[in-house]
Amino acid sequence: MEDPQPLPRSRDVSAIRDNPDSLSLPTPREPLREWTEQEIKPEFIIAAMETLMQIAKARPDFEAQRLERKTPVKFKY
Amino acid sequence: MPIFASVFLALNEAGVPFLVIGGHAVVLHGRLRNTFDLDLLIADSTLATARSALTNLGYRTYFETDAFLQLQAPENFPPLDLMVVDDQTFDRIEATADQKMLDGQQIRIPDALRLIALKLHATRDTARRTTETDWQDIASLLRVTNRNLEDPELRLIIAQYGGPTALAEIQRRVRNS
Repeated sequence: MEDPQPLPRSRDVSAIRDNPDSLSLPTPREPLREWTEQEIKPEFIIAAMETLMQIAKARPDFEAQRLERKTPVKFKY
Repeated sequence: MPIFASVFLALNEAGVPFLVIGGHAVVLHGRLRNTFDLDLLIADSTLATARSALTNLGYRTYFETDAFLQLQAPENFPPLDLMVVDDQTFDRIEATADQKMLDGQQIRIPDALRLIALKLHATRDTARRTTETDWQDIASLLRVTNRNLEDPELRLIIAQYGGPTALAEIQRRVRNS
């Protein structure tokens, strides 16, 4: 009788870890920040920001806090 | 739901050239970070037309100096700031701008060097509560655009807009990033 095939979850993952190209996931050799910058498109981030923006602007001190981050010095180039 | 497109369309219809700056420009250059408002760069000569177009959308002035106009947004529109520069400055930054898509609209953002100049300018205002985000943006822009700190044009911009201590601050952050 043949040995049953191992379940996919029990397979040896060391080969995958050594070959980052086989899975597009962060590995210890490819830090998470670089991975997210390469893999997540700016459009997705901006879409998420639009939602957060709508929530944030309902705060009563929202405009005052925004003003604190502004510089009144005119930029020249 | 896209909330920026109406602003871009209104300014385009009014014939107001603009560049997207601030956090969205940084994100469009490839750095992941959050921002809660939309910053646009416009020229002095187009401010009145821009204000009129945005007032028609429902925006109200919250605060104004000759350097910027902070606008309070109506429902379903983004908090918006207009950074106002003289026409020559606008033309110079526009000349090297990059084309990007945002909310389905073709927009322009300053190239990495000019965006770094804008960020350095912001770090020099001692009255601002924090400049940490600006420094992080600068280090990240250098990294994601593969800029060499030895580049003479970059060195010039750092000295001119960041002052005498900016280079050391950037070097420290680039080393640690």
